[in-house]
Amino acid sequence: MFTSSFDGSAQDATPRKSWGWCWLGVPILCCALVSSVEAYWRARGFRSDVPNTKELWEYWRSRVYDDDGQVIVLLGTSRMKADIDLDTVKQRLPRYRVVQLAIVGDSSPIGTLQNLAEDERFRGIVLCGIMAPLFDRPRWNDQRDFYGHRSASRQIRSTVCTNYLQEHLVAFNSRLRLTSLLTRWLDAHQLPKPDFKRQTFRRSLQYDFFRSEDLGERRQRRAEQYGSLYAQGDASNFVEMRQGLRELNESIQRIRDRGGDVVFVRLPSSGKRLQLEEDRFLKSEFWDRIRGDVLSPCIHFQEVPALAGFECPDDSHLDCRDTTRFTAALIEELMRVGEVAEMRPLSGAE
Amino acid sequence: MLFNSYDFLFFFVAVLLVHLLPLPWWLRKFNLLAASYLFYMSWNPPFVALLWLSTLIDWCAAKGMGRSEDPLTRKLLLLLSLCTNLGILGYFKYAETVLEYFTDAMHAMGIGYQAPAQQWSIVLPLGISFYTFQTLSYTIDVYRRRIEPCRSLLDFALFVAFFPQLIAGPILRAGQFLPQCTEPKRPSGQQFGWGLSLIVLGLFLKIVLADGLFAPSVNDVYLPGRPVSISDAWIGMLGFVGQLYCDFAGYSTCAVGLALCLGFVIPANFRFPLAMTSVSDFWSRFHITLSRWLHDYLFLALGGYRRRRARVAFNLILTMVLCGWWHGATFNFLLFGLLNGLYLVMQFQLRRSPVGRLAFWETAPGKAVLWAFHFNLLAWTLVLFRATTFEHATVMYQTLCGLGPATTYSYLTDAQFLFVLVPLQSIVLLHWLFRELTVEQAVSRCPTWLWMIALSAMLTAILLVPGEPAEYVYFQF
Repeated sequence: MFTSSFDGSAQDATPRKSWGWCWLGVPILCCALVSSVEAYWRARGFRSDVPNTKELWEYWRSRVYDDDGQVIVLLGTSRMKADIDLDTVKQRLPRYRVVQLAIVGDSSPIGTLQNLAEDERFRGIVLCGIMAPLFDRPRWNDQRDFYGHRSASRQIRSTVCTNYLQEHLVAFNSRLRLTSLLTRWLDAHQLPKPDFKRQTFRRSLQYDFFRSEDLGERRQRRAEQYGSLYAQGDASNFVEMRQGLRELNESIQRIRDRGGDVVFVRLPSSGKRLQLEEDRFLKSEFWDRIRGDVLSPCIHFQEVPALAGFECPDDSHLDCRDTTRFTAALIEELMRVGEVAEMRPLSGAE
Repeated sequence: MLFNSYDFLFFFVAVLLVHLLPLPWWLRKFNLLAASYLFYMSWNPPFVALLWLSTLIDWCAAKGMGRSEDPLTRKLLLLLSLCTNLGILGYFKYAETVLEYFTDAMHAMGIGYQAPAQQWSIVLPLGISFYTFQTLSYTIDVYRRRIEPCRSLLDFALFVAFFPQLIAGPILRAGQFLPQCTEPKRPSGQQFGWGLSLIVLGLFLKIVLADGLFAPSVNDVYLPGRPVSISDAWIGMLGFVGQLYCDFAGYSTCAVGLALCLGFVIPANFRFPLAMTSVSDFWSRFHITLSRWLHDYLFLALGGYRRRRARVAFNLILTMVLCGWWHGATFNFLLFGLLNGLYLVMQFQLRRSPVGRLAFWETAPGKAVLWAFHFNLLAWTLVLFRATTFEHATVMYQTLCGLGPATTYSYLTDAQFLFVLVPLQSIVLLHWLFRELTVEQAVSRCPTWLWMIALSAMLTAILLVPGEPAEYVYFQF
């Protein structure tokens, strides 16, 4: 009934097999299976994609340190992630390491900027993609979920290892997990379609609008989202906004004191979205006055001919084919402006 | 450091490489011991002190017992070991619950006692229930003169902390492990090949079946405070049977495989438990090392079967109540143990009745009936195991009977239904096929090429299925 057959010893009952052959065959078969899956998804037009996780953000956040201050940190929203091509920055400014810390969503990056300012070890340059309403003081902590988050180091390591594999293999795309696929197939009788946007391990977003089937709808949806976001009259006026700028300047000064700098950039938008943005936050009322109040240089895409000619297919982000030209032009502008003294020597490195 | 994480992969490869170097045996054992402590410290470093304390006290107590012929001294040394180990376990595992019950009792008597429960909270050291039982078995065996006290502190420390099975078993006996420490050894090719196979099998059970297929449905159903439909409740209940088995068997299988890769043989903890035909059959197949521990050190100490029927019934119930209590200091676990004790008593009585002696139960249809009955009994009882509180379990039972909060909305999709039912049926079928065998015997019967294809398919599924690595269910104990 309730017995113990314990005989005081541990029996080695290993099955007798040709384990050498077996374990020679297993990796080969496994590679063949994974390669077949990989080839199948690539043939269907899928590309590798890395999920947007806090752990990956934390990993890159831990890499913003450089004793010589030769690191450029990108802050902002999805536009900063999509419009700046990291390879072009690396190519044009080879002495610099570029770290992408922008976060998708209409969130203010000022909190993240302050977080960097408070970090005594950070001595680099911050390129902050921002729009006028995001200077509003109540919105500064929008990105707290990321910069205020502390994952266990083992969790970060695990996610980063997974993300690294996802960068290289389509089969590891989280949308193409066996369970996700089966769920989709059983519930909706269809397999997923390739996505027109993807994130890389370095947290860049790449929009390939040629692949998008519902661009018109997407454009409309984005405009509606933006319209509803600021329709309730919750946007501050400049007088309220100005009160926070003093505090912002203190953060900028702290970064400058350590040898770094901050540059604010208004990245391109177009069509209805641009019209809405301009209607709610007139450039002359907000951006131009903010520029007068903050210590850092502010670059607006409409003021720079080389940056002004770009069209955003979804009204908000550049197509991946345009990002190389746009990034190169932005770097030229950063050097031309010259207020960022630390960036001047870079021309020699080209 | 979870077995199903990259951290562990790098850690194990490093430990294995050092273990395979042509170094003196004591140095290789020291490498394993240091790795074990590092492995344990990766969760909560200070708690390694408890492991050291337990190791030192038991080693010294056993040494003393070995030297002394005086029964009183021996008894006192055993008592020292028991009090230290059970005291530590009791404090960390049960103090908070006992204090809560005490406060409730005081309130019931009209005394306004308020425990400082909000100011402090006891963190349960990982694996404490497992290594406490392991070290206790050693001192009790030395006291009973079944084994000689271990001469080497290094060997004994490795026995207590051996990382493959430190956190969630199998619970080793000194007689199984310590003799393996005396002779220098390396894994043979056969052991290494089979060890790797077991690791793949264990990871497949954990990552693909437990976390990938069963857990999402079970978690959706067992969200406290949310009414679910009858069909969802049934899927959740059945899914948890599969999840618990695959999760825990996955861990144990990996543990056996990892140990084998290092050249150590540790006992299996599972033997096709979902093909059980009685409650005792289930406990002799599920978490085998705990069942045997309870049998050898508790049930027999209480008198076992060599007493009158009423006393045997009491022994069975008390053993299983303590088994439930070992799992956790909640009313649900207590009830879980009590029910299992009652089932065993009923089985004990029925076996002696004319119905229990019918030849029909030995036939295939008879076994099928017994399986269906006991599988349902297990599934229903495990609701107590999974539900967060007794109230939660009550709501689940009501829903399963169609008496719960009325909702016809199903949170589970068709796919989730299939993700539970298809693998569970397959597992049960496999368990029935191999019911009389061990895993080793079952694999021995399989041609090498077929096992190679099975391993490749499992490894591919491990690579293509996973989400975030999830903790093992038994880590909470």
